[in-house]
Amino acid sequence: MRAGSLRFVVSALAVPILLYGVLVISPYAQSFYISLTDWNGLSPERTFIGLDNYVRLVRDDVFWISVWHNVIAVLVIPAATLALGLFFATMIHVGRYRARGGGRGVRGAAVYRIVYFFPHLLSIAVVGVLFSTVYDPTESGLLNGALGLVGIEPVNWLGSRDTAYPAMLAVIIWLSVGFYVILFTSAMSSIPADIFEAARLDGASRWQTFWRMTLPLIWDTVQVAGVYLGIHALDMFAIVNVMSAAGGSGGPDNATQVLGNYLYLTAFQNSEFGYATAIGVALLLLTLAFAAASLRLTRRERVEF
Amino acid sequence: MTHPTHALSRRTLLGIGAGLGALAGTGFLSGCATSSSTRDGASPSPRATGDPDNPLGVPADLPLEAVIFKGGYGDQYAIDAEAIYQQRFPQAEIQHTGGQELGKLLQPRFVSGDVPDVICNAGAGALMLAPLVENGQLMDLTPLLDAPADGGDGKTVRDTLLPGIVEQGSFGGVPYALNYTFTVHGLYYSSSLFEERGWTFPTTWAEMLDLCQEIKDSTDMAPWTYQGKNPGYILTPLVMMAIKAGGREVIEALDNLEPDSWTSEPMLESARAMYQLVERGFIMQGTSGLTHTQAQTYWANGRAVFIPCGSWLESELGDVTPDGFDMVIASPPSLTDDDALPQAAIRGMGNEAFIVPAQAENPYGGMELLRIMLSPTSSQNFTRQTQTLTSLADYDPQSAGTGLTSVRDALTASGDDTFYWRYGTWYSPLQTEAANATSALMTGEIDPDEWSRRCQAAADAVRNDDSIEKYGDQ
Repeated sequence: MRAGSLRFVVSALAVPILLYGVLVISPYAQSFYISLTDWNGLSPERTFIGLDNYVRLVRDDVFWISVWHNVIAVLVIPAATLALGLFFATMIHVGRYRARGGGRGVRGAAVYRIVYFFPHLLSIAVVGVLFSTVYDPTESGLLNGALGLVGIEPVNWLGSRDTAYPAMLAVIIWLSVGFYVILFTSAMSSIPADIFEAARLDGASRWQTFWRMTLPLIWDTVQVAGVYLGIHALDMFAIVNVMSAAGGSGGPDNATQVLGNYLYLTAFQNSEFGYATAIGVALLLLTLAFAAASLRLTRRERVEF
Repeated sequence: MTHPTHALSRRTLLGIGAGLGALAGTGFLSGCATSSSTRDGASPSPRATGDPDNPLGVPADLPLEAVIFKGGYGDQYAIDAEAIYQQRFPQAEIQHTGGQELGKLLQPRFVSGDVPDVICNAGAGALMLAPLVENGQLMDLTPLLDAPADGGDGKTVRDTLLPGIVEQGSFGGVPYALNYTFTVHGLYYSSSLFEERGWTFPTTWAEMLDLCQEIKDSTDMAPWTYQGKNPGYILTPLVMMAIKAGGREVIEALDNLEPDSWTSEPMLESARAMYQLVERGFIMQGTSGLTHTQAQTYWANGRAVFIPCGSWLESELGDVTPDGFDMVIASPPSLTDDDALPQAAIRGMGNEAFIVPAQAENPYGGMELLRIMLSPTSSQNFTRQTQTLTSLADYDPQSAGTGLTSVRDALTASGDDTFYWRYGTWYSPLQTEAANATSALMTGEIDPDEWSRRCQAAADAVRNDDSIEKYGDQ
């Protein structure tokens, strides 16, 4: 390597590495340290207490409830969002494939593409407040009112421990699907149309076309979407914080508690920043484990076209 | 001049940043978290005494920074008090911030030592006082309490306050916080509705159940609702009834985390009484899924007859309450015929804790602002704006609506039997778990025995946790 190019490489990399070190690596390191202290977050003083916070974590019922809820979110949200996203994208992209003999979308595909994207433009706080009203437990709630028309008794969506968490998961799925519809339709658009024509000539059914051709050809996109959705689902903080109660109780009775919200309550309600940081570190490990596992599980040969 | 800075300031950004940092356990700004910079103590002013216009010896030229919780009461009352401060100290530059979620706003400032001179630490997301007290980060307010009251005819501030106010702001006997408002807790109902239907407020629980049955049978209203997603609201009448039944020992047991504090007979009896509401279907359908705003609005619109709340309700509902609704407060019914305290005994205590940070530049200026706010003039101004009493005793609130009038009547009727408890302020993990258990009790998921076991386990856990500072008198 010539001296000139070495200088170029070093100078090009120095700034990003420095920024990464200061803004990412150093806070991580500090977090690990804070999680080993009893810091209450209000004064500069803190005492090193070793692994006490982690011992307490392992024995903390609410922590395990939160972990379980996060795990549910990581399994349900990506699965449901990807399934719905692929379904809608396929409908928009090739819905009328049979009827008209070509890869054409349903009537008004452009409109659907825009409409599906609407929820994604709203902030989670707005969506949370909106759905708190939709889920109003009395018969005047939007959802209960609609169910009332078909004779179903009002459901206490956010007040009953059986329905509260699923109701919140549904909101996140509603919020996320639109973006993935757009992502998958654009991925599908990049598949050459003649492949589909050839398949049709060979008598492939729509079902076969989807499973044997469309899905494998956009698998990279689906995989990235799945990992991203999973990491996103590990959060759940904002929606639980907005929808459970003023100040985010994670209620009723911890039935919607997730790690992010539990961390928040520990830090800002109980002023136990050391313990909260230990929860944060646990959340980080969970995120890393999920990313590693999902990348391994979804590894699949790339199809060239 | 006051300079309201409601807009997003650099501090707010820093606050949010540090908050997010801690939140993710990783955040990019948490660099602030470990960079400790302690300023070398406050600058305690030489407390000149004797000057009647400036008994606290406030340095006239020091700026004053006030951070005021801007919730249901707004912050105009504080801005008005700052204007009086400005008249007395024309050279002082006054900075006023009204905001919510003060914990997140102020937490990084306490870490860095760059703190305001006086804080109204109230509302959801307020700073926890106990750790600040443990760290020695708050001023002892004794100088303020011993100073002559503003408009108090020579009495000290301490002597003009309602009974209990000083104790309620004390930790280990030292007054670190001063609760500015005085709120009474009980059951609210519409007096015009009761008049129209010919009902009277039940004074025993048996009568309450009879009235609830009548309401259920003869109207389309539900007898009870409560702020479902914040079950602490429905826990309050439960504890109140237990205290009235068992007397002040019940309070002592709760506050001192005693081994049978939640499993004692009065507590169990009260839980069983409340559970009757669940079993007999007297609670509005869907209540446990309602926010406090939803529940209170439904109640004001006549969907339920009783709601438990503190006396801020009238101010909080504002225009939502229909004309002629005439809300009034009453202490919950007596559990038994031989309750230790009379039915009229009610929970009354200070709220909206004001604190002065120990590291403030102008701590005596902060106290002076509190002294101004506790004058009869400022108290009347506050009550006019909020329909809520301040902690000042015996002032004429002038403009009082039905709610406030009933609050004053209830306090008079309760007299020396007025009571309060502290465990909730001292031990937030216990309050959280007790509220959660009560949520489950009031949806019928657990029975009173299970409820008392859960609450007792939470109290035991706090008692046995050496890392939690204890404030009771054991």
